[in-house]
Amino acid sequence: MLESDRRLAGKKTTSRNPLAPVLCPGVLTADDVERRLQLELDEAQSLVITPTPPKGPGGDRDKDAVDLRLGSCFFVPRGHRSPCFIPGMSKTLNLYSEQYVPFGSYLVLPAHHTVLGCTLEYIKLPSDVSGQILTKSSWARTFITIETAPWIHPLYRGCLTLEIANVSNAPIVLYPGVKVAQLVLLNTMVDTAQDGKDHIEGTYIGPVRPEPADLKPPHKALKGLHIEQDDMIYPCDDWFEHEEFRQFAAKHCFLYPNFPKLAADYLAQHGYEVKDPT
Amino acid sequence: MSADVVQDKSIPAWKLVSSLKELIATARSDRTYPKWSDRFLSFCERSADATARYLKDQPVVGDTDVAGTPTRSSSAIIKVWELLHSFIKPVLDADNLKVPYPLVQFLTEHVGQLSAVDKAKLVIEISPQLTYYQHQHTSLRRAVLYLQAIVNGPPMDERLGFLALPCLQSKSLFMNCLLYHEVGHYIAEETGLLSPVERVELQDELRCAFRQYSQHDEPKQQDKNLYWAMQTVEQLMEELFADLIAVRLVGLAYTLSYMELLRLADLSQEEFRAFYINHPADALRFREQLEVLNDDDNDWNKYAGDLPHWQQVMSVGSDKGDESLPPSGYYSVPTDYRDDEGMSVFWRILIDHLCKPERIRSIHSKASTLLAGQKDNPFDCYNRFALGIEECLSHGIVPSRGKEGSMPHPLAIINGGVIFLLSKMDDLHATVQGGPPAFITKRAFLENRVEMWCLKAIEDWLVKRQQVETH
Repeated sequence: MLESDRRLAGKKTTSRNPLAPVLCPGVLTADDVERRLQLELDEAQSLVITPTPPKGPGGDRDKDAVDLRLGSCFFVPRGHRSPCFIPGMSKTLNLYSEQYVPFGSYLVLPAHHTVLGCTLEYIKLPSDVSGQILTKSSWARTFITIETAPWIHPLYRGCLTLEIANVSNAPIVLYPGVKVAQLVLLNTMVDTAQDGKDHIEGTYIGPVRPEPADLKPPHKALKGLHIEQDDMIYPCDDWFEHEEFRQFAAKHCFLYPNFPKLAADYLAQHGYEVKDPT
Repeated sequence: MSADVVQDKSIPAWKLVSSLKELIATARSDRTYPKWSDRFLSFCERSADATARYLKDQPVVGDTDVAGTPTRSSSAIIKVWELLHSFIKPVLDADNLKVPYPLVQFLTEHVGQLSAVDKAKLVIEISPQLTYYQHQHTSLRRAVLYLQAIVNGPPMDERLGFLALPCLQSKSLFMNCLLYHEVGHYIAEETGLLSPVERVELQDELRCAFRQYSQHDEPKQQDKNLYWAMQTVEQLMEELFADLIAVRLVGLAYTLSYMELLRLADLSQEEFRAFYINHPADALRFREQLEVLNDDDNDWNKYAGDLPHWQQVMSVGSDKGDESLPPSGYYSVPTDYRDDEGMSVFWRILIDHLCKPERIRSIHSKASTLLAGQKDNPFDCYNRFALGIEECLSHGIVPSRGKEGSMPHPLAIINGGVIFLLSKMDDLHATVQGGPPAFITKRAFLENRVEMWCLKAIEDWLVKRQQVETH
């Protein structure tokens, strides 16, 4: 699960109601989890984990965590056609190709590779509970990590995106449906719900498979620092140093409506003389 | 016969099967396919191996081959593989990412349990057009048997059927309910819509009806007319039959998705009453679907009464007049033939024959007999889980969450999802803060989400059922 996803999922819920009672933070026990699973969906403090993970051999769950299973959709990295990936500007789908692995089949994760996966379980967190997703220790001992951004905000809903990295020296086989992660739920200091009712908000609403990052382009991401777009340096700027490229761009940009002026202005700003090919 | 002639046919045949085998092997190593699609592709790969082996071992000089000359068998092989190619390509396109996998998996299991087509195996194709269709398989089976005999190839799975959906609908739930109509065509092809006796009776009836209008025609022309009339009536009957199968298998969701398709086409009331060359008037189709949806076992009106789609179905499909069945005169001949006096008369005869109460009743009876052992009634399934599904979807939750450990049945999820999409989207839209800013993009985003949640819920049900079966 990407940290940015979760932050976006819960970003508007952080305004604190001064009259809301301050809660005692702590890890939810199996009984707490069970009680919240039974609440009506209208209640903001309800917890949803569906399908409900199977209980252990004795009919019990872990006392302080819920096991989550691996889903069947993956985003695997692929060769990139562009010279580099600029977050927020390049198409994120260029980074990955999607793969569906039916239950019973497997995905081979090569050594030192990372894929995006997701949990089989769809979760909805209560308004007064944050979550943390952790690699199951047995998997960690095979040099697999499933999370680098493990925090989940209150009221988040969706399947959790997992960044599954194989840091061992051998390819590892992953079967959808196996328990790979555990979800630890923690009471927050304050209930973020308004009127105690459930509500839906955020950019990533209810994903059921890994989703590409929705990042802002650099000039917007740096807006808070008052860096103007003209002052930005982009990775491909040095291309303009090459005479051949300048001539090529000048010639071909005129094929697109509205683009010539932008391109000519841009080149002029950078001190280049552009000959109008027309 | 010279070696050159023999090789002339064998080499292109060998190249054809080798290329196809490579194409299939590459696709299968790269992507995953629904179960029966994969089995079909695997069969094609093994058949290609057998064919290549046969061609490699073929004697260079002909005339002495017992099963016909080598040249003739090579030609036959090419023809069979040309036919196989027309199936292979759309199946290769339909990998798991291009089809709504959970729905396809459920549909295959659902149909496979019907006693009428015991152990049916559905292969999914991607249609090159924007339409759904059933790819007729009888000719393929014959050709494959022929190939098997020539090259000693592997047998193909029995009861394979091929259904195609447009590539745009890979993540859709709503429109893909139309696949159930194609299942109806598959069942018709498997079981035969008319028995030989019924076919002879229909032929006699049509011959009598046509006689007075074509008595001046040559006998050959009369036979041609009769043949055309038989083909057309059977095709129109099959369309009605496929509708009835769909509506019995999946319930209201099929009728609503079909109406959605027609609403996109923006048909006038007059166009609803018109027959088409290859399907009956939509008004007639809806009339017969309503008969099933409102029978003693179902009460869909209870849940669908307020839906604009349902009201339109009721308005175009309700009985007209006092008779239990409306007069066939209510329906009009296809637009293309209205100016042709002769063809108009022929079409009127066909419409009269199709609308005969006994004919319609026989189609109903055939559909209900074939599905007699059907385990799950869509209305009962939906009735049981309706509230829970609506509650989940309106809270942005995958509707696989069930009370007391019971998970909603996929038939309930499909109908619940479709009804939610048509009735509650405004509420969901208003509830969700965030998402895409523009109205259209946000609405489309949320509709996609609802469909994805439903597909995920079907997947969850399949996983859970697997767990139960394993234990």
